Amino acid sequence: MSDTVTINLDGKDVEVDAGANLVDAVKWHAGNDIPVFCYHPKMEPVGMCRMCLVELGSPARDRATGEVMLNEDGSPQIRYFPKLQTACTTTVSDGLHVKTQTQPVIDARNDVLEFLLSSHPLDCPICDKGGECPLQNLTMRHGPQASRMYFDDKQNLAKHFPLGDLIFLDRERCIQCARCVRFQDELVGDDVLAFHERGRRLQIITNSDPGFDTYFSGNTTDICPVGALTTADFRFGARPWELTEVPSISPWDAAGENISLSMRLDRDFGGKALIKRVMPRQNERVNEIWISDKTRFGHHFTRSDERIMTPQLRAGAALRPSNWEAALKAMAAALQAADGDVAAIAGSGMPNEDLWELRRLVEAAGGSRLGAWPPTHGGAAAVAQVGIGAGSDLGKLGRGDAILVIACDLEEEVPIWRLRIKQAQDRGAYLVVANARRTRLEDFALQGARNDKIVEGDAIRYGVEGAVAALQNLDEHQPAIAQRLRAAQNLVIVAGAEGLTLPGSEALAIAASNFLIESGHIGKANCGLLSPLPGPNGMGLQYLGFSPRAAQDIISKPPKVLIVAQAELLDDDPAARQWLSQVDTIIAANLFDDGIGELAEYLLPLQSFAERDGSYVNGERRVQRFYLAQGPVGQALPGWKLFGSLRQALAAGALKPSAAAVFAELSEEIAAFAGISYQDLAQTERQFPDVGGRDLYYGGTAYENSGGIGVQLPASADKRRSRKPRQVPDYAPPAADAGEVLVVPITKLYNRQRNFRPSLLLEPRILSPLIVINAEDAAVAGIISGDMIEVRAAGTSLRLRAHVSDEIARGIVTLPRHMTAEPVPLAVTAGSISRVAEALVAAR
Amino acid sequence: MREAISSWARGLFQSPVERERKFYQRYRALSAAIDEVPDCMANYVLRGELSLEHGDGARARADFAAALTLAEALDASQGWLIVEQALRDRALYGLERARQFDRNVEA
Repeated sequence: MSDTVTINLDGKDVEVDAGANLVDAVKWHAGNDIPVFCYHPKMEPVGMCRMCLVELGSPARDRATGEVMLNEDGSPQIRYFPKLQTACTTTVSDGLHVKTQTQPVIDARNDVLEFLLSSHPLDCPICDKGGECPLQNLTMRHGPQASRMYFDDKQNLAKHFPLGDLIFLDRERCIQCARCVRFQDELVGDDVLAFHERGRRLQIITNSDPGFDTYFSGNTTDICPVGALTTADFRFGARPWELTEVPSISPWDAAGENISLSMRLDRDFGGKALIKRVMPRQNERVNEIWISDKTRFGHHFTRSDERIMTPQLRAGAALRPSNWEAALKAMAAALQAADGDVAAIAGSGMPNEDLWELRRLVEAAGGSRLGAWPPTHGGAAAVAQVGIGAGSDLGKLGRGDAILVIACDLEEEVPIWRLRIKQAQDRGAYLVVANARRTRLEDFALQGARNDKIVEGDAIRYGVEGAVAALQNLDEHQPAIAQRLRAAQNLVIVAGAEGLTLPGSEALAIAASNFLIESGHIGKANCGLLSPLPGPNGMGLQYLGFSPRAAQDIISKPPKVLIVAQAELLDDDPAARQWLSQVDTIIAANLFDDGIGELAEYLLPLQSFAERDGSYVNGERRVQRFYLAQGPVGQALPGWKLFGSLRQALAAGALKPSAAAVFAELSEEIAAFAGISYQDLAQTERQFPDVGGRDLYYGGTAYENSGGIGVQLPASADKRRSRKPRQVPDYAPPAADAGEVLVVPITKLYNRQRNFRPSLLLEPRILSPLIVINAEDAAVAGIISGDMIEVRAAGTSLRLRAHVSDEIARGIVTLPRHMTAEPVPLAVTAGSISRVAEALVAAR
Repeated sequence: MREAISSWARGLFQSPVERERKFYQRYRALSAAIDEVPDCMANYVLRGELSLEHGDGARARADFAAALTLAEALDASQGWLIVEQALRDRALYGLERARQFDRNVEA
């Protein structure tokens, strides 16, 4: 069967992809914009709004012979439908005749718009959507000049109805296209919106508590074709035509969501450019046109008053504000005096350019130990070897393919991967989720059917023996699942570090690599390994020579001078204060002071991702650029400039003038980056669906990708190297003595990290910290939900309320990271729990 | 002559949106030039001047500082380097104007 068919569009033959949706096909191949409101290229068509009515005809066939009937001139007879048809529910077929510009079509569009506007408020001048509103644009293009409706009959409905903490609904503006309801139901799987009542009373409601309870709610405001859904963050904040879009990358997780920062020179920021809102930027291989709410609403830290504003030098017991000149001179002297005993620990929020300059600085000072923080995930090296193949796109996984997600909770760690993996399962991929506890993705794996479609998946619940044993014994314990994974056309394994120590996560990554190698799922597109490394540049750390092993080495043998760059040691590690006290001189550079200012000799302000140029490598090894957007805060410098200046002060080479120059140098020196330039990262291409341009009616306000889609670094396996299985190191989980449990730190998307707290809008969505205990274990210990529990582990003691659950394995308790005043253990460890107070409402 | 007057008149009555669009066209072109040749002073100076004209003192300062970083690396043995010296002077002047601009905004 041919991959293309020929249709006749307004009298001209056009070749289009077979099986395509008519609206998509004519837009992509012929640039014909059939107007739509309810249709969205990422969702199933519903034909509700009737805006896409067209005349449709197909070749007439003889009922007896099935042959196409011909006119006298030999051309096929075309039989048109007697009534107009919705283009969005039509699939193209050979010989299809489409008329989009005839008088009946024009009249129909006119009538639909007149009807939609019959009760639409005329508040465009104060509407957030004004200027980028599909209803406005399509009314100008296709609508009536006047209305026959009575103005007094317009409905007056709630205009500021909060659907949750983040999204407001203007019920007057809603045209009931159901894009938001369908997005939540079909794509996200969080079915939290619904239609309520019927006819003219029809309205959108939320049926969750808290309202609109999902991590993806902001996307509904992008695809809303009117100004009915607006974000609490941006509403009434600026007009779209005042904003300048600057391409950027999400600073939160390994997905590397492509975003567009809407900037304006703003009075509230001293006349400097300010982020007014964060919008998605189309990159079909990374985040398509979606972003998580954390990415959208979590940008306020970039201009927080709590940021470090000036360089500070220790003078006796306290740090005193200083200037860069004095700080650089003093730090250079300290580095020279260290006799080469210099090391660095860099956080995963550091861009590549900063990491490169930091590495050069440490080397210039005679050191070699480069630690990656946090030292919890050991999967980066394996991803560099057998990571998903060149040209991979999670959006292409479907029938015949399989995905194994093990030892991680993607909903909380990398929400966009969770969204895309759930959609892959919708398309037919077989999803297996393995963990010691229930996760959101496990719910999807076990659903069986969704939206009238069969979906396939399985869940594996392992116990205290952990993920490594579960994967190594998969053939023995779960032969059917193992066989199905091996037999899949494409296989992606997402291996995390939940419930594992660093050696454990390394062992899991190797075991996963071996599974992929043995089943032949490496070195090709849509096959290979992913790891939800914390932060946006976990893979950048790996490629630039920073490793979690080196961080552990630094912890066990602290150097004379330690440079801590954008790493929150004291917030992450309960033992940090103790081992940092053995370092003579700490040079700490960060956005916020996590308490290291009490120990450091130098505390230096760094610029955030929004204030400078740079690049990150995402979990799929895609190098992506972000651009200078927001005005600087205080005297903060970009990391590359700080470390480059320090290196210059050591007389070890001149400072580079820009991030572009630093990247040019690192691409010459680091083999993985060879031949890549900033210009390559800025390259774009036409992407399907063709959303994100000026025609907002079609895909919503996902901004076109003008900043580049990035370059994927090849994995070793892509180059036909590293194709032999390796010995999985012996790994046993920490032993728990009698009366002890395994304390497993877990990640929560909304937490109390210093760079997240300034986004006050999300504050109500941060849950209370709870220790989750197995129901049988709790019964033995006499614990019920709500009891105050004391946890003693890794030399620390924490008090939290208990949540008793039968959805976690026996012998295991979970503690959320960054939710309590004291840090939880860095990785899984044995510990004890005891009840210190009973629940306020006794359930005994 | 007529065309020149009409172009001047068009510039006079340019809408803020049009002005913004043109600014970003120029900004992106200069940024692309910097990406291509990161060690060329002229592009930093020009982009800094453009940012200052646009009212963005912070971006301007960063670019003038980058130009001056390159100027520091100039080797006197390479000769008089008249163009580079002129650019350095422009960068110094621009940096002072940017600082002045920021002070005015803060005031």
